Amino acid sequence: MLNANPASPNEKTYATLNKAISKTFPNTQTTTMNIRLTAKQIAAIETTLMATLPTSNITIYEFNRQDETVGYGMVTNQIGKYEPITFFVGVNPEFQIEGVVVMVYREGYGSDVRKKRFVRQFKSKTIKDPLAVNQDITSIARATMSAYAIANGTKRVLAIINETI
Amino acid sequence: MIALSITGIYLLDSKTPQNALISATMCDDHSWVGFSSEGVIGNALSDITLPFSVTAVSAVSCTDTTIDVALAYGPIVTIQRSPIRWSMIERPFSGKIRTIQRLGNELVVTTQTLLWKRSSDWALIQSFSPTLAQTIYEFHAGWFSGQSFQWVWSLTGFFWLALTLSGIWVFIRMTRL
Repeated sequence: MLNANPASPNEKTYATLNKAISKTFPNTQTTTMNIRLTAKQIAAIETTLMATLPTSNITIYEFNRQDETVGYGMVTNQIGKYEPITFFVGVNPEFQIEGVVVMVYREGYGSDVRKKRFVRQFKSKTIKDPLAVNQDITSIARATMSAYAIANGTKRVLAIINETI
Repeated sequence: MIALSITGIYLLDSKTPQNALISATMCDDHSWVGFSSEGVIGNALSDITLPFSVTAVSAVSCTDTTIDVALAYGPIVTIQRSPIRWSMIERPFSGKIRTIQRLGNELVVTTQTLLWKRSSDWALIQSFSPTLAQTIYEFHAGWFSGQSFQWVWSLTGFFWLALTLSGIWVFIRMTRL
């Protein structure tokens, strides 16, 4: 997943998966779940998003602290301008966003979407929120397309976790 | 002077697109779709939260089943009309898209210098060398051989500012003497 497009000349890794997890759910044990979505789940997710899912095989991480589940997470890719952005989305057991961490950015500019002032807007959002730029998410100068990509990808993760957990 | 300043500030500060109609087209079934400063217009597509900014749209194509939206300097968004489902298509070339056309399962896209088609994979049909004027334009915009060097222009701007301010400071000091 991290190597979505290894040929990108501007590719820069800002966080590994472990770093993204420890930022969002510190001091937890991680369980990896590889899931193949059923046709019914795909249909439900696509109806929610009004978008086509790029794959039916997904990996969801479950985070536990002292035998209690404190959240779930997924790594996803979403096209920004020309290249995919790889980022981690953490969701708490109430299906609210706990955190978004940009892991790999591949465009020449626009990487400011990784900064706290942008990603903190997603905190506590649920699938019922629009999660749309110019509605409940404010874009960032010189990174408009990346802002849309993060918002679209985050909403997709929320829809998948809501449907599968 | 005042009118120019006020209208100039409006242009810089305005969040809405400057074009009333950004791009529009007619579909095979005689419905139509367009992107304007108001958002999506026309009767071919409704009730959708767009996964992109309408200001980024450069061209649109429509058939009775599919709407393809080319973002000027970005991916192509393919929207299935019924039920409404969007997906994004990456493109292996940069440059501003000028036209997009769907011919059956194929997409045909043109930029200022390239003609590409895509069925399952992208294939270059024809390429042209950029004119000198285009190369100079890109250079002014901070691009050379596909690489951005906009930071050089930013640095140059900073030094010009520093030079101007120091010049003003020296002038003030001289006039006080």
